[in-house]
Amino acid sequence: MMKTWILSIALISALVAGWLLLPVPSHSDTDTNADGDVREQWPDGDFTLTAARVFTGTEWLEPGWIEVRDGRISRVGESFEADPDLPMIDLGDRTVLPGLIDAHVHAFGTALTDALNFGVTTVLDQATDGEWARQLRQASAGARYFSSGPPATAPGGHGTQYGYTPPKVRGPEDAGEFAETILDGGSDWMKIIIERGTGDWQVPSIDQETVDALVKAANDVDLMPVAHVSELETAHWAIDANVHGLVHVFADQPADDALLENMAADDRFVIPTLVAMEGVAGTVAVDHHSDERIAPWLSGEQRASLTQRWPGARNETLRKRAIKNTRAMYAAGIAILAGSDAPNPGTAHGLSMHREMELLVEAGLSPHEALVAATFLPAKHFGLDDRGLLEPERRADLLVIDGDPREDISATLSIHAIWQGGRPVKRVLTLEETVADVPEHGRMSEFRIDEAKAGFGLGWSATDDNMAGGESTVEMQPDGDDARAWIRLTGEIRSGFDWPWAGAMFFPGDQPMAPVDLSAFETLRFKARGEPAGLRVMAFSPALGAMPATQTIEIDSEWRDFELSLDEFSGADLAAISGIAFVAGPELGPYQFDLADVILE
Amino acid sequence: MSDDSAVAIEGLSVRYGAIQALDDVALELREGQLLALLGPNGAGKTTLLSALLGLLRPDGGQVRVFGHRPGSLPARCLSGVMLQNSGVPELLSAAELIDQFRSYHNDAMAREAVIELAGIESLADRRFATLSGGQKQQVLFALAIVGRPRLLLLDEPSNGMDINARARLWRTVQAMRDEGCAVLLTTHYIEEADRLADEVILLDRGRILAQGSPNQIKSRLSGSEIRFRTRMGLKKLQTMLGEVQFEFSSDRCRLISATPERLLASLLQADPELTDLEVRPVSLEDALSSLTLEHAA
Amino acid sequence: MNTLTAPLPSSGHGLDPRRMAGALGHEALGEWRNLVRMPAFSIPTLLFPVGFYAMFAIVLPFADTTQAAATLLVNFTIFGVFAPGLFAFGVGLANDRDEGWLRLKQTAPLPIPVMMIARMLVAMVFALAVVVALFAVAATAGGVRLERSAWLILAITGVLAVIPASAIGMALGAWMKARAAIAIVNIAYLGSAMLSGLWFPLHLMPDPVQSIAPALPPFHLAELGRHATGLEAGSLAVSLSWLACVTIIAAALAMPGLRRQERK
Repeated sequence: MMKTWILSIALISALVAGWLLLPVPSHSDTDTNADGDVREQWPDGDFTLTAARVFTGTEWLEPGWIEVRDGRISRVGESFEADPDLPMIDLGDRTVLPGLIDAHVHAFGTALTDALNFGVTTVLDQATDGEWARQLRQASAGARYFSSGPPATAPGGHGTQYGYTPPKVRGPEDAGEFAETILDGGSDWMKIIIERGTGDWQVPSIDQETVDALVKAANDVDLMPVAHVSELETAHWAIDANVHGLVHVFADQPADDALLENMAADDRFVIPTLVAMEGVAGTVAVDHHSDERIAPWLSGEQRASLTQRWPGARNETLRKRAIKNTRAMYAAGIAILAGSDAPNPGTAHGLSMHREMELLVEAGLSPHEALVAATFLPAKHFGLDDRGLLEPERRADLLVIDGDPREDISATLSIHAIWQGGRPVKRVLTLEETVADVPEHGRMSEFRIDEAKAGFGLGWSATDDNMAGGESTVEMQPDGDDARAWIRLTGEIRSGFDWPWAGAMFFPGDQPMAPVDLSAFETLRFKARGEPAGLRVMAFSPALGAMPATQTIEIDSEWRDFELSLDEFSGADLAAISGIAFVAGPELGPYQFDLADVILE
Repeated sequence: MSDDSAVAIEGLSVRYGAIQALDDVALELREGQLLALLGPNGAGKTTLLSALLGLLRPDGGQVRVFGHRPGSLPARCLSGVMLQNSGVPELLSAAELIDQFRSYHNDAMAREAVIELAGIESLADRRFATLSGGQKQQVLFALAIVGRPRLLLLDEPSNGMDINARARLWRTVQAMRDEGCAVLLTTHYIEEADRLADEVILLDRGRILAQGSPNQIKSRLSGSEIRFRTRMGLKKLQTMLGEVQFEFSSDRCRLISATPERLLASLLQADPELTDLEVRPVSLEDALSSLTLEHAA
Repeated sequence: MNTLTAPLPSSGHGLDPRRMAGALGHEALGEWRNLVRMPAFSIPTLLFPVGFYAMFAIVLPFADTTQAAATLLVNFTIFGVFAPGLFAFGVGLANDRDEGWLRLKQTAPLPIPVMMIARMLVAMVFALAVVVALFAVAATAGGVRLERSAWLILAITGVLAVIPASAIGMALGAWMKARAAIAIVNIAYLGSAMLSGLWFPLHLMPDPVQSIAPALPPFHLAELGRHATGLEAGSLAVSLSWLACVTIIAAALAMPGLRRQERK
């Protein structure tokens, strides 16, 4: 009898446990379906929807009703009699926004689908190759694409380092031809780059005279001129030349009143791209590891650009000044447009638009104004009169979010559904890729006598400081005896870099430096021997930038067991480790060490 | 109907279409009585049993089991039943089947007791499908007695059983009868009925032909059975035996006579070389077959 | 004291209610043993749905969208859970009648409904096993993601689907010879599954089939499954009441078959 009871309880427990283990949709949203797609069974093209809040791009309807026919909005109001023939969608206590318009991107790779995945239905590319732009305009999937095409920049100037060659602008005399060329190439406006560099980084720039000529040429062919500037002085050049807008805020010094007045008077705009400034300043603050609204939806490219960093130290001043200048421009009544400048280091297509809105709020805009900056204003200033506003005849580009973004602008990340031109967009969940990255076991080394085999990830390779300008050398050789197999690292540490190193690097991801979640492990164990010296074990993590967290051990000619606590790699984010290195140095001279049985536990 | 009546049947008639399966049958079975129901195939034995179990609704008459409607739950609770050709789930073992049937009763016998009474100690853990016909009958008998019934209905129980099993069966049945259980039995081992039954009922074509103790039935047919071998031909025998019925094949003859002494004298006179002569009292079987033959004539 | 023969009870006959649960348990245990020891029943019951599901959802690229993956799981769950009840009663009962087991049971002091309930409980256990196997495959290889509540409701739907299936099986088994029953129950099972759109989407079927489907219980069970998993489905009330009707009608049809007079 007792046995029967125990058996029954065990069986029921097993069933309950099995039930709890069943996979559920990752998105917390109750009626989003598996794989995070958003109701692909929802109607396509023609429907009526209602929600507690509708933001039209300029004003709020509470509640709001929207009728969509043939992918375009046919009616909008606080209430109207719904056409009974149309499917009705009641979104309940949610907010409907126009699809976001990112006013400053550089699109390649998966940019368009990445952007759309975060509710950005339209992107404005501020400088790219003419041929790339032509292809992206025809892309069938992802955010709709508009572009300046190639920028006007000095030969060898900023904008020429990205793998394509813009038509040459040597001086004012080339302005007319440049304008004709990009017009023929399909450009939607003209981007003028005025950039002289900063600090050690000095580049040739077009001069003020050429700016004047380019603006005139743009106006001649009916292209709107906009300008990249990074200094107050060049901002003056641009505004004096009558460009319509600046595609960055400058942060070299505070904006002066003359500039602000000029810009405000002529209804100019600025796309501050504060999120990109944050990247430059090294103050990136996006939680893309644990935030459920972000982490599962990031593509590989988004993750890569987000974790990439500009070299150099944190520069709080730069960030502060950028915010301050934005605030000043906002206060002066200049139109502020939201743009991300993705995929610059620290940014990601789509995602960074949401961060940009947060930063605009930090710069003094109300959440409402941040939303206007991300929808209506880019459409208005770039002449996109078929979107950016929920009114009849415009495209039904809709972003549905949970909550009220006026209370917390980051609510825009709680995406419930996206329509593009009246078609429901299936959001792409990428969490599984990341999960697949988590190794099931921690056997970093499965060395063989003739092979530096790894238990997971891309595995082992020799590493030295040459990429940082050093001159150390390394050679990695698998070897072994009856007891074990190991890898032998031999070489010489030479001066040339402040912190010279050379040794072996283990990449846990499937590409070099691709971060992998190793938070399931606590300890790094391995055997090592070699010429008596210090051996450094370094953990690389995007959270640390280029500087790894280091622990040092002492080795001698006998095999010894080492056990390092992963927690001791201070500052490293164990949920995102991009590499673990075993290196000699920084003492100069020849070195040799062997490494075996490397395992995470 | 007496107070200790277990089964009371009055005027029972069952008709299958044109066939009158039972015709105005009446019988009573008292507690502690063992009644043997005899008759050729198609006589109505199984129909009578079915009526007694409530498996069919009679066209006329009344059946009562301890005063209850047959097939009603109280009647079923008091009865132990063993039917011919009962299939049971063949993949269960005898012990499992016994446990299952034990659970149907408020006051069932212990499993071991049942197994011993049915004599199936060595079969208890074998699946039903693997048993011989007689062994299956033993298990079905076990299922019938599991609930310590007041009425035991056994339809050809000893079919296929070996001699030991049969002895065990009758020992148990007798013991139960002695404790007051009413037993209704159909069998074609007439010697069993002869030896065990308190009362025998002979059923033929739906009617009771004869009823009484085995001795009473036998006495209905006074006389002896005579067997011999003779060289006399059929014709000569016929003239000599006159009205007496006999069976004859090649040189063997078998007959039943009320006046055997006289017949023997004339036989020996007619054929002094008569051999293999046997004379013995008439058996129940003889009595029954003679009764049914009489009835058919 | 008598040991072989119980004294006549002075009043009250029948099984003590306290013992009824025990009888149900033993009855179910007997049913369970008999069915699990019968490979012809237990193996197809468990492997067919899982095999077909794996073929459609994993080997063949039919589960290409979330909806499709969930739809396939719902369809094959219903396909799988419809069998145990249908066969345990349809074939099992016909067998029991032919073999005389049912007759012996009818003479034993066990109320026949208890026997039926026990058999249904065992069919439910089989249905649960089918559900567990299918869910395991769906969760690991089928790419199905459902809310926890949806998994649970689908599982419960699957287990309760045994009730109409048993009633229909009972109606068939009460009237048919065992040998005929095997063929007819199989045809009824596979046919109704096919015509209910459990194998191929209904909209790919010819119009007459599409109009037959709403009369078939598996179709409505699949509708319940679709409701459970948030897929597009018709009226819940219609499906539930149709299933209730079918169950009651089938059970009512079975009764006279079980009480049929002996013929000899």
